[in-house]
Amino acid sequence: MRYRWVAVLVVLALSGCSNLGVKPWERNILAKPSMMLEENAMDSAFDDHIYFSKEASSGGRGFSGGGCGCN
Amino acid sequence: MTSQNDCKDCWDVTPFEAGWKCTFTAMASPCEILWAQCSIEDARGLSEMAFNEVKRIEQKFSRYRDNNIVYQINNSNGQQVDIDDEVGRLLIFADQCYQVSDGLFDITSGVLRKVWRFDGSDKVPNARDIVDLLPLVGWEKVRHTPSTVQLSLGMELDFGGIGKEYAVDRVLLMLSEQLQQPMLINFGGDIATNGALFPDHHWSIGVEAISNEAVEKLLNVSGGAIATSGDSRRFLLRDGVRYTHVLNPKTGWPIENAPHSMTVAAPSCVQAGMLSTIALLQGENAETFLDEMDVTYWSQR
Amino acid sequence: MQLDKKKRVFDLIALASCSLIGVTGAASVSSASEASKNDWKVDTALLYYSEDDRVTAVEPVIGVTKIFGNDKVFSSKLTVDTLTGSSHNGAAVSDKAQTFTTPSGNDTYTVAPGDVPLDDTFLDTRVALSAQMKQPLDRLSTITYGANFSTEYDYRSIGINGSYARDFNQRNTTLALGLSFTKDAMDPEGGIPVLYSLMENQEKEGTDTRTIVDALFGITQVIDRNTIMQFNYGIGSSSGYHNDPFKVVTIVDEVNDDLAYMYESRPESRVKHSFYWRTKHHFDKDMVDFSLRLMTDDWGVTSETLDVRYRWSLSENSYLEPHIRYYTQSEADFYVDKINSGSSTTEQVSASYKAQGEDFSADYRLGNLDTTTVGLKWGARIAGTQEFSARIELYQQSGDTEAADLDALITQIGYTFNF
Repeated sequence: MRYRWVAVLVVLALSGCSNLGVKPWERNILAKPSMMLEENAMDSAFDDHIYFSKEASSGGRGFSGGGCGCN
Repeated sequence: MTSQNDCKDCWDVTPFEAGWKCTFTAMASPCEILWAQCSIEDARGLSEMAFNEVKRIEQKFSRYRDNNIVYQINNSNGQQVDIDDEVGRLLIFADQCYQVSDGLFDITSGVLRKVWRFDGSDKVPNARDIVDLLPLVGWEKVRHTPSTVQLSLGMELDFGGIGKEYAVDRVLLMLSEQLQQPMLINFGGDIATNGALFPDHHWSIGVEAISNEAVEKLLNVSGGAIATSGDSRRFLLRDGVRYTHVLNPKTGWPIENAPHSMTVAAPSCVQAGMLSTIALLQGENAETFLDEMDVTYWSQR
Repeated sequence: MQLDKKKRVFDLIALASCSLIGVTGAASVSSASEASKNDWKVDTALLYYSEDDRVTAVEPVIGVTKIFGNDKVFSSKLTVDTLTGSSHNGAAVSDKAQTFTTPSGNDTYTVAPGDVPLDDTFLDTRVALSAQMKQPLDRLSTITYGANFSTEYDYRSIGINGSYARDFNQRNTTLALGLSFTKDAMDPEGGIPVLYSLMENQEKEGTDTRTIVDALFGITQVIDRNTIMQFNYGIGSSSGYHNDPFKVVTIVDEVNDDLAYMYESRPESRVKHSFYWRTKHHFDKDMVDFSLRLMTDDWGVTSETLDVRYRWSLSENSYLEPHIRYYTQSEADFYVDKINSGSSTTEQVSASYKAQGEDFSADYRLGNLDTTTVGLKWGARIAGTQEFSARIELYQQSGDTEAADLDALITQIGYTFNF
């Protein structure tokens, strides 16, 4: 698998993750709607569908399953 | 961690989602102060300061103690009593509210509780007893200067209607001088804040439902104060008539057709509390009274 | 007169209160309102997708979200997708005119020499419905579960999904695990082409299905006050019918100097792996959102996707967001542009492939591809309860063959309201 090294790197990087982060009262910016991970869900859904039917890849951000006859 | 229910003389600091929360019991209410962004040492220091100030006010103006200025004044036997600047300001405030409410707000009306016990029972006093007490009620009979006060024999002063809101505003002022951060003071439902935690944020305040039909309201507050006046559980019920504990000082009887509770929003807690109290004293016209002044309020009937 | 008196009452109380507390200057402003229970949200959007000389799609969508007490969220979405236009049928470009049979088998169409062979009998309407429920299991964990259904003239899909997420490190880290199952059924016009059969023979029968199982492992991590990252590893396995029943591969019959078309054949299974990394960083007023996705599968396709969005804050409530996306993929092991028959005839080629069970496809979407998307989005929030958005994007695709060269315009408008 061509990207096996990526998996290893990510796991190593994340093992240091318990030191990262902010205190609960420092979350004001992260709480803004624009910083939410699902904030452009409608756009993402359209894009996922377009790229699923025009390219060979799918998934990444979410499930990669089908759902339409377009590929 | 001691539970705040057990301890009358201690305060507690715990973290909440966005910062620190200080809790304690005072003025017969659960009290809390919420703020963000400071160290635990600062949090403890501020809590200590706030707790001490609240206890100071509670002890100074309580009518249940026998060693404070209120006791002195209420047992002065008609003599003049020297008062400090803080008591002087409270008397000036009481005077201004008396004038503005056409005599309905009167801090000498406390003496009426000798015949009125609002314990949810049906023991309504008889008219004779009330009439006997009326000569002891009447702010116009009090002689006061910024540094002295003199009551007629048998009269009493009761700061219960102002004390809690005053404490809220005082504590907010003190703490915001120490820490320039947004915070919320909440003493048993009398609330003041100097701002929300961050733009788009607002404090969520629940207003207790008084009657069974009403539902707890949720208010979004991002500045100013909220105060609630009303029945709570203090009323009498006889022959289907509800006697609210808000008494008309001119007649000695409860105000008729007043809302069960009145919650007002205003820039300061003292102002919100006074607006809600004077509104309740208007009885039937409580809501119109506030509507004409463009005040933001929520009433329960 | 009454009103004036009341105003004086108000002012007197205000003044008296200030004197009592000992505040000088402007008192703080009172800002309190009843929390309107804005627990409903309706999202509507309309997409208009238009390729140069090929497919056009119009897709209206409506989504509803309801927040219940105790943090339960229900959401549902209805999509209608109308497609018209023409798309590449898999055959190679030739310097001779070509004639093809339509999918129904009732008609033929001709393509001029030098033109990319496009089948323009392509039109369909798809309706899809999905529903999802998200609820907390305990203070730190959430589960999500849902189902989706999609139907069009010749294709149906039903799926269910579920996921579990848990917070750690004072909610700075979230681990998530998701699973989904989808079953697709194909019932193309005329039937499924018999494997290795030729287009001119129109040997078609029956229907077929495909099953897809997907798993997703994700880590969301707060980096600092302004930055949040997400890492996902996804693995998907699909088995069943993967062919496009309308696509053929050109057989250049060098013996008879003729062209024939054989229906494509793809493997019966596909396993995909994807690695996805996303970062959202907030500047003073603006925000950047960039992501990288690496995909590899057992068909030999590997791809890299880079997506960058920069949200430029125009005001407290509106923004402009330029967007750029680069995508590149390497061809599948069984991708061919066309099959040269060498010294065999068409029939011999077809028989030979059948005997060996070989896979082949000329679908340019499985070939080498480079695509670029450049777009701009505008969004605005009104009165805290309504949002408008509009976006326009240009999508350009190019590959090893002319069939893969594509330009498309993507436009979308959206309106959301909360009540």
